[in-house]
Amino acid sequence: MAEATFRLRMCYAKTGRLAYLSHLELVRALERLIRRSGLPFAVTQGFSAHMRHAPGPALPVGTRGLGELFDVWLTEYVKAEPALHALRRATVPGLEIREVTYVDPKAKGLAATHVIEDYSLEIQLGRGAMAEASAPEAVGAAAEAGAGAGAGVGAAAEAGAAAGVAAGAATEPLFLLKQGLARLLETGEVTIERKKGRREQRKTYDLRAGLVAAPCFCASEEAEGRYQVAMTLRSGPQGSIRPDVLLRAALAASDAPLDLAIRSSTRLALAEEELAAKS
Amino acid sequence: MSRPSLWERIEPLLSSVERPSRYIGHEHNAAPAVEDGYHAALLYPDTYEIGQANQAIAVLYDAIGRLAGCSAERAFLPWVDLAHLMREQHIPLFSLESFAPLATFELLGITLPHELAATNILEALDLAGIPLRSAERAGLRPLVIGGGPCASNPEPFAAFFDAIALGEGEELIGEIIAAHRACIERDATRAELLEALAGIPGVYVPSLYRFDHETGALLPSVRGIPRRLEKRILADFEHWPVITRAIVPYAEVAHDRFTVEVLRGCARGCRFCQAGMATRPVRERRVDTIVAAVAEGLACTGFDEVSLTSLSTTDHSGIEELLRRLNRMLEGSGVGVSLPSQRLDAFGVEMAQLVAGEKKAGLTFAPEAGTQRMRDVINKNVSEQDVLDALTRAFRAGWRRCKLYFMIGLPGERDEDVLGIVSLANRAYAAAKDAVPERQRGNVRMSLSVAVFVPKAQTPFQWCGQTPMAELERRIGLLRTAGLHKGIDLRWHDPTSSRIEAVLARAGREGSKLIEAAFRRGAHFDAWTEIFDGELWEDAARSLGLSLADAAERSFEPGSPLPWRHIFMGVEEAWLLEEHTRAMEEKTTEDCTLASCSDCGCCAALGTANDLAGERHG
Repeated sequence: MAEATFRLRMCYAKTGRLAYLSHLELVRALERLIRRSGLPFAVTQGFSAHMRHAPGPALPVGTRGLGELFDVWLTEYVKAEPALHALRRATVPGLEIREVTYVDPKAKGLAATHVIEDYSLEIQLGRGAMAEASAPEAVGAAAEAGAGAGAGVGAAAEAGAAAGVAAGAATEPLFLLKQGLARLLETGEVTIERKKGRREQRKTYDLRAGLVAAPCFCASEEAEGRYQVAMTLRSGPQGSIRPDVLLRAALAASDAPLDLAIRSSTRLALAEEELAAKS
Repeated sequence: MSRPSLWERIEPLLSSVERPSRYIGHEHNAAPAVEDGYHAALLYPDTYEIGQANQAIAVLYDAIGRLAGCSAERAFLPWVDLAHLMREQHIPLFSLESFAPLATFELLGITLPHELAATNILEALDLAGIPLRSAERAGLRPLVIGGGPCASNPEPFAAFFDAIALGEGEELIGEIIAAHRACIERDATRAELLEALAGIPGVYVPSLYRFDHETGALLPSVRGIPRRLEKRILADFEHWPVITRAIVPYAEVAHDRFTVEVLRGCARGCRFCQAGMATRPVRERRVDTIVAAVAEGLACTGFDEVSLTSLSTTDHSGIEELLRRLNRMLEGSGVGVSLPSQRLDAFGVEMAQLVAGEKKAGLTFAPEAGTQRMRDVINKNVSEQDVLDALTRAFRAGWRRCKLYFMIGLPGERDEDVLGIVSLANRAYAAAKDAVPERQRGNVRMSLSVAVFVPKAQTPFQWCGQTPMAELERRIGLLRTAGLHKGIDLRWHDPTSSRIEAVLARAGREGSKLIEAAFRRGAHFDAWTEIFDGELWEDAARSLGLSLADAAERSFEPGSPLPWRHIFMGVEEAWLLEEHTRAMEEKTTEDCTLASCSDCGCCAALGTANDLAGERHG
């Protein structure tokens, strides 16, 4: 078997319908497009031979990725430009290969290395009764508290909204969300419980390392309670916290009877060392 | 008719449902719909994961795409979470290519894959907003057509379909579409359309056949349509193009690989097997054709596995040459070859060895019955020695896991036959352990999967009733207490759902009422054990004054008019009866691709013959 000497790093965008692919589905789609491209990919040796590759950090289902990373090992050197063309010819709509570069074959894998992830989200914050805003997975107390309190507050919501300005910023949804975030940042970590089948899983994330730039909010003029949120996260060998999960945890930490809907979510990921090299 | 896209309404729901990728369509090689022209939707009545790899859908999709001015689109049943949201928001069932409502298509073709999909067909029609019964539909479109394995006895499905296609659809679908288009063009009436369809060989229009109380048979109610409906076959299977531009799914689906159908039909003659009776004659693709199709298919799909499918792939006369050539071609590419099941002899294992490489995941063998007597009854021409030799060879070659399939409740089954399953499994387990080095014996895994026999139309056992439920449960009890080695994992099939299969497999037109009553009570996804609820069916039967037990256990008198007597799937009733008699006499019948013709009547009636690529390995 030919030796795998060349490590090609693909930077790609995953948009449109393909935002709904799971990480595993995305990896398989990339593998298949590499096979179709005819590039001389390397195959692992052993029990179950498969294409030698290393995907970047997982993207939450429903999130668009503008600059995602995927490494594949080749047995022969193919110039970057023809390689890019071959990949582009074989790809599917919604999966755009933006650029390819060769990286040191001995460098750490993308899953083991630190990747900087720039997220931009469009969120809708409101008080209870946002039925369509169900999250793909319930995030422990946050979802429960939101749903439970929602019913009680529902009737008073209109009056509350009118009185909101008068009552001052202390009850404003965004203020409460920011307050929750501040509490989380103070402790420096966040623990998430999630149900995986029947099992409950708990995972604690270190926010000091994981959160590179705290969320910044920009009110949208389209609708009340709608904001553009930007934040930068760092994923490492232990994984990374998802931006939607972080925001929901912040709501839970503020004890605010609020609902949060993620309307859209986009990510731009870059390996930290490359980021450093670029700047 | 204008065809709106429902995507804008579906997309917002996707973040709240499981596995949204099964609803996005637009997979690589999916064919875009024609702008103006004839639109056909092909629906598999289960979820995307189950239906996407279905070969019947793939074959028809490809065949329709080759017709001028026509395009085919796929549709599947949404899982219960999305179905609930769609009903709540009044979104009708849609196709995956253009997201158009199914009711806006010219043709809606639905596969009838197995009896337990019956309520899902109604769920699909209901979600699509199409009246469930053919008699309730008006106009020329959508024309609702069924076809597939259950067409062997179409009667329980008859009320829901405007027409049912019998046999192989490659050529037939073009004729149906041509007739339909002509009727649309000349603005024919619905009655004219149905009569035009009934005139096409292989098309059964149930509404044009009436039950004749005198003879107990279904007879044509208009002139010029046949009394006996003969299935269609693709005589020149070898030259029909192999599908190489296969759709590459994003979601993980069952059989997620590139597939080449290497042969069609099976003449082994297992007496319980409907497919083996209804897909004759045997036609093999040539090795050169298959190798070229694999190369082209892998290049334009990017799959990392190729499956050589058929009812009995290792029976292909050129199988050894084929596997050796594929191995050479695919070396170093990380592409694996898979065979759907193993022939139960040393040759079968030798072939499995050829494709396994280092990856020896597990082998599946189906002796079906535990004693030689019972295997002779069902015409499963393997001996216990074949089974033990095959296992010894497999475990010596490095396999450590195997699954054995058996059936209980077979006609004429005695307790000794049930106990024979356990003793055969125990001997097989011992043989497997003996074949493995001592320190690796702990890794040997064997599982025993026991299904309940379901009598099927168009088989030698079509006259036999299913064994009563209490008796089946007693026999399952026998299996569990007969001293099966504790290292063997025993699983058995729930007799409750097998009973419903038996009822529908041999029902007459009253079956349509039963299916509809069960659906109205909430039955759907009956093949999913976590959803199946037998009580809904019991209740449905009660409401119609029927008994599921009586219907399943009913024996037909030979010579009496069977509900499917007007349907000819390739084997003559006289031959089936002969086979039935031979079964009771414990006499076997040989495979006509290896020995002489057994006179099933297929080739004579359909003007065809077996078409083998070479001499078969007996």
